[in-house]
Amino acid sequence: MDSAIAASLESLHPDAFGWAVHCCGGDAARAEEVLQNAYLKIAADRVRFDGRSAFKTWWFGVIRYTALEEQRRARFRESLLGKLLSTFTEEHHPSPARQIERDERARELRAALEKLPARQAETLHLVFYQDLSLSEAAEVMRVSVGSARQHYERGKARLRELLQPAPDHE
Amino acid sequence: MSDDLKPLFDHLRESEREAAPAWHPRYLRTPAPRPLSVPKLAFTAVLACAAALWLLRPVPPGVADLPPLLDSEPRELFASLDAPSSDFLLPAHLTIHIP
Repeated sequence: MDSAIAASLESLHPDAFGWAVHCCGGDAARAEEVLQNAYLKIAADRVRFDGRSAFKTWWFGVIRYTALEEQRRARFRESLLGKLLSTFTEEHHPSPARQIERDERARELRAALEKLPARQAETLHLVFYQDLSLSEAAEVMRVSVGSARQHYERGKARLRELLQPAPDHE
Repeated sequence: MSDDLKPLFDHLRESEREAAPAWHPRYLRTPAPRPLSVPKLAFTAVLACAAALWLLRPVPPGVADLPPLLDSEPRELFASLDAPSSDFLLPAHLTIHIP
């Protein structure tokens, strides 16, 4: 593998984990698995950076897609057919249970983000957490810039509402 | 991009960075192909045996190998009734006469 790509991956690792956690709805253990699978894709040359976009944008797109794949697999495993098949071909990949110690504010923000529509939450995460521009966020999410802007504006308004302290009732 | 929401996300980012698993070069190593598990191996063996038995099953004989059936000479219908043989089982008054 290209050493420049390896270095980029290493420097992006903490943020990539944060993005994976977001894509997995706050589940850190599943995020770790998703990130590991995304790395494997690069190592096995199943995905290749072609230089048409920024590396971070491309890499986050890969993570997002891998998380969606993992979500579909999880849904299949939970289905009746999946449970039946797993009795014959069961393979255990226990991921280390990682409990993220989050303080109250971080927990509140995470909970509020989970209440937003997925696209709005994704846009806000990519812009505020990952410091991507709206056009880069649109590229990761594979939507138009106009659509990303709409998600961004609506998401911000809704998030502010959700983070407002509840009025005291007498 | 300055926004009042930015500090909140920065805070979340910091707390999640602390929880992120440490980077390890093994992430970028291609895994060795995993050996087949015992149930998979057994299933494959059973499948192979079934396929072999199906391929080696006795083949039914072809049409050319069958003995000839109903291979009598063509002759007139009811020809045998015109001239009943001596060992005809019916009594004379019951014998059918075809005009």
